[in-house]
Amino acid sequence: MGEVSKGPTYGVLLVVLALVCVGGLWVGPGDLNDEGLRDALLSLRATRLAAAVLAGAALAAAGVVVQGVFRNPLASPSVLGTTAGATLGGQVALLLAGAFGLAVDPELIVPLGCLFGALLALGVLLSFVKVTRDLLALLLTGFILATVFMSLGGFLTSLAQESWELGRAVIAFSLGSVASAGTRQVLFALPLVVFGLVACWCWGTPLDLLLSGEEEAESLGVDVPRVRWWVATWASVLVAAAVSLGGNIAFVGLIVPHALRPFVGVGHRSLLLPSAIAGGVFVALCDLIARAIPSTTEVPLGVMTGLVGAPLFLALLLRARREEVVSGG
Amino acid sequence: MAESAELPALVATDVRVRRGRTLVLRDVSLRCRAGELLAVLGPNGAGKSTLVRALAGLLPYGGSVEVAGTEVSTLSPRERARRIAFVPQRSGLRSALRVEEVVAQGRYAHGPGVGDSRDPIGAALETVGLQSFARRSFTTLSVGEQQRVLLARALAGESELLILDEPTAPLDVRHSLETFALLRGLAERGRAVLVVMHELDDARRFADRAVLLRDGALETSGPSSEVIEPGAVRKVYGVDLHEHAGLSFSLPHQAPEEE
Repeated sequence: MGEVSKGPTYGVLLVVLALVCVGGLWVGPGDLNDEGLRDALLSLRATRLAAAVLAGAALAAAGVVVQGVFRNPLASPSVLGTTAGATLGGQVALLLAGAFGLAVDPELIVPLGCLFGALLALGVLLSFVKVTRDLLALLLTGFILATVFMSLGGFLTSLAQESWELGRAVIAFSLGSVASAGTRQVLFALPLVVFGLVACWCWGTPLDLLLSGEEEAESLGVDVPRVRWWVATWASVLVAAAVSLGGNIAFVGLIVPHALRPFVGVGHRSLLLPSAIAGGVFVALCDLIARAIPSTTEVPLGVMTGLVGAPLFLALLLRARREEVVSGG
Repeated sequence: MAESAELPALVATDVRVRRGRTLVLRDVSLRCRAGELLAVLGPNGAGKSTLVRALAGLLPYGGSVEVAGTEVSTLSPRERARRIAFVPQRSGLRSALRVEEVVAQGRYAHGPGVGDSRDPIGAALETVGLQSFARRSFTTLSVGEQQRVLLARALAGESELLILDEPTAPLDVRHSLETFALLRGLAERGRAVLVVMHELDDARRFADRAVLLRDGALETSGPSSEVIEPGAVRKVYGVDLHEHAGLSFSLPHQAPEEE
């Protein structure tokens, strides 16, 4: 099927998004009778919902462009190493906030730490990309960076164990959670996500050309190193925004663009917005499930996206394989 | 062919290409004029693909390659793409883009065509006879149809120089003949067309001139009927050339070539 119609896909996505929003804000009739408490709860839930939707949208959009730049539908934003960089930055920020007591507000310093960590990781990555045009080298550098940052993050977590409160915060952050996202975090991330989405949309056409391979894209006029540089940069900004809102949320950037291609086509521009909406829906839904499961502690969001995402991803892979067999490809 | 007068569309002087420490192309010089179809010939491994990729500015090279008087390596990717259209042997595209989207990529280097009333994409599709395929997915096409889409993509760019690497390799006899007729037509309307060819009889029939490569160096060049002669063919390919042997084909509406 060569032709795809985007209308129904948009329709379904928007309806599901609306349902998830209603579900996320729903306060049962018997739950709270006090008007003031009810308002406070609603505002908390609205912030949490906004954080989930924004983080999901950012990760899914970053997934679209990273998969384009690596010409691999199985790549995810985390292959750049910037997710691990942002997570480490956030953890360092939490530790600093802990060390200085309440002198600095974690709600401010954590997003800054994430952005700084992501940009630092990106800087290291791009200094390697400058000396090599090899895609595999880029991939390996990202992988090594991620490993180093995760090891450092593990070390920080072990340090944070000394203090019970701090240890909890650092671990919750690395497991992924939008429960503690505040209004200021949302307001910090919002422009990053909006600019990131617009920038990724602008790079969509050269990414489409890159689908044919580097040499063909170059012959058609694409400045391949420049495209890689900017796409990696904007993907990192999106990742930093997502991590600052919800810590380490797994699987979204990988699975969402992959799941949407059969419905909206492979063109990056047509894939970007539906992916962003679907990413928001996916994370908000996972957060809703995580919240709704009766348990003494909440299931971490990053765990939930992985638990829901992995089987979904497997199903997609099997379907793709079956279609290949049926079509004789 | 009026403007073919002074400046050749492409002038390559002593082009060298290294792969690692090996020199895979040694001091190849050639020129291709506007209005001319130039065949690049040679056995497997002679360096034909390497040569045309260097000429298209897609490989780092030594020596000089000038397109309309400008060194190719000094051009930005977009400037280069506006002057040279390159058709690879086979596309790396394995994604389900629509045919019209693939052909539109040929216009990328020109930027958005504001106020442009012409339809170069539609025209290019019509030229290769695929206008009814516009909304089909590229991956559902046969290899031969895909090759014609690539040709249309190159035509959509409307560049003065066309470089094609064995464009007819996956095509059946009819589509090969149509492609060569199309390339001849483009040359006659003033474009410079440089084609890597495998079939010597095609080269003799459709190309104005030919260059013959052997082991990464230029063996001989000149009018195709002079380059493809028993001595050179025996030396380069190690086979004997028998004139007037074998089958010959032509499109139904065209008279067979003179004997």
